[in-house]
Amino acid sequence: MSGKNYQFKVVLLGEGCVGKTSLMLRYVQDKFNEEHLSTIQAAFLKKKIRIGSNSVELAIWDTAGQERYHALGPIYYRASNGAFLVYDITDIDSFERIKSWVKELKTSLGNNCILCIVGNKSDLEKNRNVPIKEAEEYAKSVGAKHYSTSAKLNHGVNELFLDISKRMAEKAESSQSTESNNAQNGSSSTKRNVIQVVDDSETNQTDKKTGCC
Amino acid sequence: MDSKSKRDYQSPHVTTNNFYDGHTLLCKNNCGYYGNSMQYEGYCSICYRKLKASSKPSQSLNNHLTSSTSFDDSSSLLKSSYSNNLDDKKPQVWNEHSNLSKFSSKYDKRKNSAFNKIFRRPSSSTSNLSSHVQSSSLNLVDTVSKVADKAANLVDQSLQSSLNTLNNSASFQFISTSLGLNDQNLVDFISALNKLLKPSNSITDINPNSILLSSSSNRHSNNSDENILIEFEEQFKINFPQLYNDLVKQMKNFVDKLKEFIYAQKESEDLFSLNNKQAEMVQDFYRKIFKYLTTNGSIKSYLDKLSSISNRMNTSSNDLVLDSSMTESQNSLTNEDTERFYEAIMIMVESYINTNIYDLVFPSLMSEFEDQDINLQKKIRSFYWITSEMIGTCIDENSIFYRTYYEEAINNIVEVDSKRTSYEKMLCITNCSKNLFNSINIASNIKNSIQEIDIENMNKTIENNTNNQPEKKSKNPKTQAKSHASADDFLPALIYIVLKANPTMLYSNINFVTRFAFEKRILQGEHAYHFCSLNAVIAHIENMNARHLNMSEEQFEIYSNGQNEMDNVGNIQKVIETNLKVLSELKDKQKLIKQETFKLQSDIKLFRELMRSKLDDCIRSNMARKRNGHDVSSASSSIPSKSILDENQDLIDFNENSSAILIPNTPK
Repeated sequence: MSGKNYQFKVVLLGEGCVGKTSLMLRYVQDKFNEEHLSTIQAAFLKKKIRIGSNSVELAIWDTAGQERYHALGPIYYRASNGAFLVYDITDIDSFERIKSWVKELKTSLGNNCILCIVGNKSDLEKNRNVPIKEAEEYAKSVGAKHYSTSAKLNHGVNELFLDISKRMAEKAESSQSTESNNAQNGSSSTKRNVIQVVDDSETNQTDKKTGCC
Repeated sequence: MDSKSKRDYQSPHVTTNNFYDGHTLLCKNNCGYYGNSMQYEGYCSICYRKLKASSKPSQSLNNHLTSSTSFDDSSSLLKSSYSNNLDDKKPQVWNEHSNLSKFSSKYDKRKNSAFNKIFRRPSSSTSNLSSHVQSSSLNLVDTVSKVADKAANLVDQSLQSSLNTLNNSASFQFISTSLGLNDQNLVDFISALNKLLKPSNSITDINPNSILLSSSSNRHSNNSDENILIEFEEQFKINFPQLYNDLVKQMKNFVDKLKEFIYAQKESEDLFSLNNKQAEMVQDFYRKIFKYLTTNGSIKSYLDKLSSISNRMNTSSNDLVLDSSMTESQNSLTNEDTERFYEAIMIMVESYINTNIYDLVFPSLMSEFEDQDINLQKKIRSFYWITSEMIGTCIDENSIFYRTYYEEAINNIVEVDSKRTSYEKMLCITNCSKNLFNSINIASNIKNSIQEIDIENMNKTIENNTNNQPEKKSKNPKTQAKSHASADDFLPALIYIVLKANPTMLYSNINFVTRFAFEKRILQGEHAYHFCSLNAVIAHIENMNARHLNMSEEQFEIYSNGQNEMDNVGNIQKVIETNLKVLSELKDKQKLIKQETFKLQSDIKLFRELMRSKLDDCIRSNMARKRNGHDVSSASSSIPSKSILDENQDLIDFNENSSAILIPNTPK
């Protein structure tokens, strides 16, 4: 009866006001009864789902979307299994910013992280400024999947989270063997050293330089 | 816990001071240490132990074994460990400090001098002492230089041996019988476990109205946090004596190994690599314990038992503290339980290790990060002029609405430095975040409701036709559905609070957590999120520039250099601004109160009408019955009902009067 028990960390990235928090709240709030949602905050939420015989616990990390906190991204998305890159379909700038996130994620997490590019606010289709074709092609070019959601109307939100969970579970399944090898080699110890704050601030400085130009 | 242990720590020396007569105080062995006539027959503890070891090696070994296995007399592992360790390792601890004082301009001098005061060491004998330290530590450990390599192996061996003992069928039977007997204990254990892993208390529903009514009652105490861990440990000890003793043995071994390692390494100058090596050892140990927990077959049987009981608890009684998610997904119960069980044990192991090595490890961490700590504090101090608007948060230190939460949050973040375990440190950070979230919620909700009132007032002044009314009512619930504080609001608020609180030794504490906490907990879970947020905040403060504060470079320079020509004017302006802000907030509060009184008034009105209509109904039906019945008694029955009506009329009059008193400015 008992399948595998996965714990995944998913991070929400994207510019301010694209609806990261609403997406998360919509997903977590809708399925759980009101009683369970005793949270006073919407920055970190957990949700348990079942995929086949496996149970998956999603820990969803929201990030501050303001431009000035862009440099703090690495601290949040470190060691995450998946990332949502949310943009507003009516705002071309928010889409452009996605690309910088993708680059960073690729360099720091490699292929360990499942990327989902999410065009939110699909209810405002008439004001669309980001061509869906362009977005989908871009997603394909970086090995990510593209989704259209509307947190307001609850379109595609559940599918989005379910899909990423499935993909993360598959990834974990396939990488488990290699992971155990790594553990034997003791490489996990080197992983730990990344945690230091000093390193983060250093990376931040480099990040900022790219951000300014 | 901290203060308590400190008291424990000092007491023996205070008593020895009473016996001071200059001569008997020194060790009989003339080693330069002070002896203890009460405990060690006039020797210092090291010489005493050497003496004992040479005379009766076998017996001392036995003593050692029993002391490491039986913990019945120690009330709590976490509490006792510290005092135990100090009791018999007094000189060692001191030595370690004297050696750390090599980096000692770096190390907190107050503490050092306090140490010297306590021990009343003649400073001239330090050179003598250090040589003694070396010889004694060499004697203590046969192969000091090889310990580093050996330690891991030894831990492995002890793991293996304990595995064997656990797999031993006899011991297993013992465990299972004890399990059968102690169902009630298990229930207690589970509740303690749940308490430990439950996300710390949060106030679920906050609306501005309740705050107005009871601002002080919302204050929640976090005092119980420490007790929860001890409670859990107690329960764990009762329910799983074998496993508990096993873990304790391993942990004790490990701590000893680590101590030896640290003593051996004290000649090395490179703090960074030294600290890293210690962290490596601790992390290796955690990993091994975790592996031991997850791979051991006999633990699985505990867990089956555990889950069956928690199942029973789920079905039989609802008032026990259990995650509602557990009831929801009964199928994955065993899995979840296992995870939770491991997590709780790891917290316990981690806390034990942390409390025991804190004094050894933290000073060197402190000296490693001293520069950074001081720089950060200086930086934060130089940012005194930053206001909440510059950071872009709705939190303000002068606000009256959420002052209690704000202060609590500051307390929490300052408290981080006083905690001795990474678990508690992280808990402090999480509590700080929780309080901040509460503040943010209150701030934003108050803003919303003020706006609402303004809109209502606007509508009233416009005085449109009645079509407006249903619209308004449909609007209300929408705004009532509270917006939860998101990361967008949270991060600036945390930055603000760190700037205002300026906690001491942030880097040292954070690095203590990252190095000596169980790795998994730093990367996953709610504590991890808040911990990461704090890291992010520190990184942000380090790199703070004009762009981040929405100001020009020149302004930023002027402010941060403190060369503000307008300083006096600026200060005055600041004071005026804060005063204005407080005034406007008071105005808002008044608005809210006014609205509440209106609400109350209308409620009274409604109640009155309801009463009247009900009474009318009653009277009418009574009359009708009377007319139908043509009873003789009808005359008598009509009199009381009328008197009730009169009384009611009086009540209504009173209400009208009182409400008029309460609300002098009724809307016109």
